[in-house]
Amino acid sequence: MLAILKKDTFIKDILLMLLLSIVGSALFATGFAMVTDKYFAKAVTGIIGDFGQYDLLFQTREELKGAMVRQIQQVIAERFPGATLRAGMSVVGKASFFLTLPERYKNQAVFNSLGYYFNNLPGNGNFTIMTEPRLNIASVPGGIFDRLSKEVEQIPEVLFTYNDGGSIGVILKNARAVKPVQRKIEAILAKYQILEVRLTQVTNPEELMTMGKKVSQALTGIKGVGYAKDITMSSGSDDYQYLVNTLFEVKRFLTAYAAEVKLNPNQGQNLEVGDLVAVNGQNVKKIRSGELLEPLEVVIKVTSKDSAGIHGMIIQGDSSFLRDNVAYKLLPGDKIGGSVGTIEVSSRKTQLIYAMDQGIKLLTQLNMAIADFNQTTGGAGMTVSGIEKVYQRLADVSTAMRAVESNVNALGGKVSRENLTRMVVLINSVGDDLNYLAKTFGRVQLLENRFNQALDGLHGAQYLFGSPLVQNSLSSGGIGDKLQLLDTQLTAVEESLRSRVQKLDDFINRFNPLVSVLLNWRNKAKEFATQVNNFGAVFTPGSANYKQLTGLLHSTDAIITNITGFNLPDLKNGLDIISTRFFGSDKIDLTALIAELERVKDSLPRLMDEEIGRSVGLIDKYADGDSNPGQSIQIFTRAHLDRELVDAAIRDNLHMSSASIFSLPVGTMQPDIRGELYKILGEVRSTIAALIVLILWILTFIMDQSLVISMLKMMDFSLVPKKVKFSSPVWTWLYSLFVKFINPATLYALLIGGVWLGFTFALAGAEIPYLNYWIIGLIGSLLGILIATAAERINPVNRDEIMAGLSLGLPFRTIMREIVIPAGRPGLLQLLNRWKMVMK
Amino acid sequence: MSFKLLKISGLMKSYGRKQALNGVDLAVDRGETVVIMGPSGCGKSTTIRCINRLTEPDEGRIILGGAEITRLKMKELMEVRQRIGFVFQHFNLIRRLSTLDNVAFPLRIQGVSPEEANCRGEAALQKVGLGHKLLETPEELSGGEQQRVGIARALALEPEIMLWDEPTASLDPILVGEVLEVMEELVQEGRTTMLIVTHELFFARKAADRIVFMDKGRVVESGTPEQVLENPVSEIGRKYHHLLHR
Repeated sequence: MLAILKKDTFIKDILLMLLLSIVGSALFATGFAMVTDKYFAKAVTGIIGDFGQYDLLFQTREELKGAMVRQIQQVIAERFPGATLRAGMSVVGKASFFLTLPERYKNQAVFNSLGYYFNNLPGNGNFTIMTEPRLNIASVPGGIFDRLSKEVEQIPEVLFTYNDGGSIGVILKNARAVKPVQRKIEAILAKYQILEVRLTQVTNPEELMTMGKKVSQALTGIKGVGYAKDITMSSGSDDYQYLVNTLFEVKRFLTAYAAEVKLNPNQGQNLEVGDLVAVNGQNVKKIRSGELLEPLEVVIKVTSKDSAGIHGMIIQGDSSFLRDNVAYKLLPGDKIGGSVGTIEVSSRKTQLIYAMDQGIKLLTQLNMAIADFNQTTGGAGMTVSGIEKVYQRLADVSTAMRAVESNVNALGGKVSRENLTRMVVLINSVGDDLNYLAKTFGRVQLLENRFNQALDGLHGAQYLFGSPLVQNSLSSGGIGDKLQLLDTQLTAVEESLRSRVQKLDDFINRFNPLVSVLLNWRNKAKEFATQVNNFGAVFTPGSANYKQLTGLLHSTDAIITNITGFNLPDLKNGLDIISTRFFGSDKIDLTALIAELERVKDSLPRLMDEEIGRSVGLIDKYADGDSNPGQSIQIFTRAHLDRELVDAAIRDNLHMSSASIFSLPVGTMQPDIRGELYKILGEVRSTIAALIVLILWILTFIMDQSLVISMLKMMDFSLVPKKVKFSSPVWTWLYSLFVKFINPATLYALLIGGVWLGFTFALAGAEIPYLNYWIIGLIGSLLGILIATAAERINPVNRDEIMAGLSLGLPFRTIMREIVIPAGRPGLLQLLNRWKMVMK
Repeated sequence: MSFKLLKISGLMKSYGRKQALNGVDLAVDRGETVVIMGPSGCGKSTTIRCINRLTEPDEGRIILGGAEITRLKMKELMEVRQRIGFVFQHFNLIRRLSTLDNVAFPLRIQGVSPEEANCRGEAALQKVGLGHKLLETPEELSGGEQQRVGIARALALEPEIMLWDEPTASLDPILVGEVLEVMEELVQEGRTTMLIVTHELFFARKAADRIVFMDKGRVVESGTPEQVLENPVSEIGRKYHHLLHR
């Protein structure tokens, strides 16, 4: 090699040219790219300001920029006095404005609330936070947002963090802290990972949530894991999480409310999840196979198929439309297929409304019965005072009778007319009181009867409230909670009613004989009084009158004794509880309870089953499609875990031996806008350099190298014997092809093309995405071969002149320097050659 | 006994499947003027180009002044070539150079000083009648003049042998005369051995010491002009005879 360099050879000329052209081209490309870079960098500064100059960038449609500016200025005046707004460039119909906030507003509270002030700008205007120095942690799942933010805020150089959509914005105290903070954040991110479990089967969102919780709990229990949080449904913000949860509650409620359809396929028939069946609905005409589906027919979609059977949901019509239970397969194009089985429908909605109606009706009746009782009897007080009054009257009657009796004994059968009259009057007045008492007793019996009827009705209503609907709705809040409360209150009503009925029974059982005796006494006493009053009775001892008087006096005393045996305060108390304070002791306001039942009934959705079915479908589509497109569970946990152990635990818990489990980063660091722009500019610079190098490569090859290649081709040198005879003509042909390729011209083009392009790319810092310098070199070689194929046309050499040179005994270098190069295209080779030429 | 300056034996050359030379045997004495004639494609030009290996022969031997040309390395070959003057059918002048530079150029490359080279070049050009067109470029000259520059370029090197490859084939009949005139003068000087390939029958009869007929890549007849043109033994010879006496 050194010998070549020392000698005056054409190879040395070529090497010199190669060196100079590579270095020169690299310098030119670098210089050009740097100039472009500077120009763009200046433009960027013009567009987004100097470092830290602006805090917010607003953009809106050009025609609405005035409205946006007014709105922003209003917000500035009200919320951010001292902030300045400056117009930026308008690009492709979009106007830009920059806002600089005073330092006092640069805090977490303000940055987190910026969306509140600026999210509704005219012309779909939006804003971007530009405050610098700043770092962004992108792709952070909503479920770990707060935890990660707090951890980042512990870094001393961090001023504060804020929520920037799916990213955490990190504002730093100074620009020098960017790199160290970035490293620290990367260290924090490296501490955690998200384990994504790809499920092998389609799972609904609620199940996903349940599975996620189950897996996270299982992982937490593994030694060394320590912390695991299910963030499956937290792919968006926390607000989104709440929305999804609410949707699932709505779905749970609607599902509980919807008609439950069980499908019983015929022998040999098969139904799969997603299949549709049609059942006779409100149409007069019955469904027939082969016909098209009518609007009023009921369509059921199969929603589950498991050991519990095949279940579906009504997606057209309502369970109240159903006229029979034969199900027909619904084919594509709404065509009715053959009968596939029968259905059993349990409409919880109907059951619930019935229960509500029954409850309201019975409680109203109960309320009315008590009111009637109070109204007609004057209540418990009047009933008891009636008894007391009867007792007193009976005592008076007894006294009067004794007076008459004592008269009889004293006068020898002659009674005082005055005493007799008084006795008769008293007996007659006791009859009225006894009549009232008997009527009251009849009312009490009627009340007991109505209570008993209400008791039976309430028992039925309670059975309905205890149906799966209530059971399913218990945890769903809202109406579920109300229904649970109603169920509890009705139970209390029933228990209370039952105990009062018992008391009424006791009262009736005890009072019933007394009332019979009293009525009997009244009849006898009335008869006696009439008799005594009409005939001026004689009461001689042993006379009939006297005997009657004595008998009546005994029975009156017996009744008085009987009534005295009653605990009247206790009796009054019992009746009082039954009437005026019937439910008072249970803290149940019957009227309020009826009103509550009516409110609950009114608040039940007035939806047909098809509307419920569609709503549930929509919720599934939204929650499933948007939050979890890949049917996977995401668990936030520490990095560097024993993956084998963790994976096994996850698979065991999910009972999915083939579930794939991937480890994902919890977030990725992103440079700020300026950094991003400079990065893009860097890429633009290297791409421009690459383009320049490619252009220079083409120029070099067209102007210089093609001439050398053309000359080499003309000389027809060969590195191997041109003709070798083989026994097989195929080998001879293959050898001729080999000779054709292995010639100095092709090899030169291949070598120089690759070396030139590879080295110049490397020196110029030129880059083409995804291609390293080896590949660039290979591309150069291939391009070189391409140029070689057309070298004679690109840069022809004069064969006659070369032949003349050869015939004159000129060496190759002289032929090149004196004949070929001067006649070729002007280029670096020609320029350099001028120093070597003899015949200038 | 005359000294054989050039001796060719068993020369073979093929272009693909076409056999251009099929065992050419030829010897040229020093100072001798030999004209090679024959139909187109018979191998005349190939033979003459093989002598300085502008065309590489496949087989055979070529000995020039004791040097076996067919075995020479490139460097030795280049030295030998400098002793051989070659006049091309298409003149093969270097277009960027003037008339004088075209002639002086090989001298300069050989290390001759510019002044001497120019002097010798000018003399050579004077000899071919172009002393008055030293600074013209080839494009400014007629075909005949260009060929005469080519002759001057060969002469300036003072070669041991001059090889002429159909020097008048590219010229119109009017210009052919001026070239043949120069050639005749050079032959008459008799200072240089000449091997001329031409179709100029009258020139050959007049200037050649010996005429060689070639056909199908071989020498089929050789002798003095009188012998081969008046009493030809070969078919080609007879055709030329008829042509001469037509």
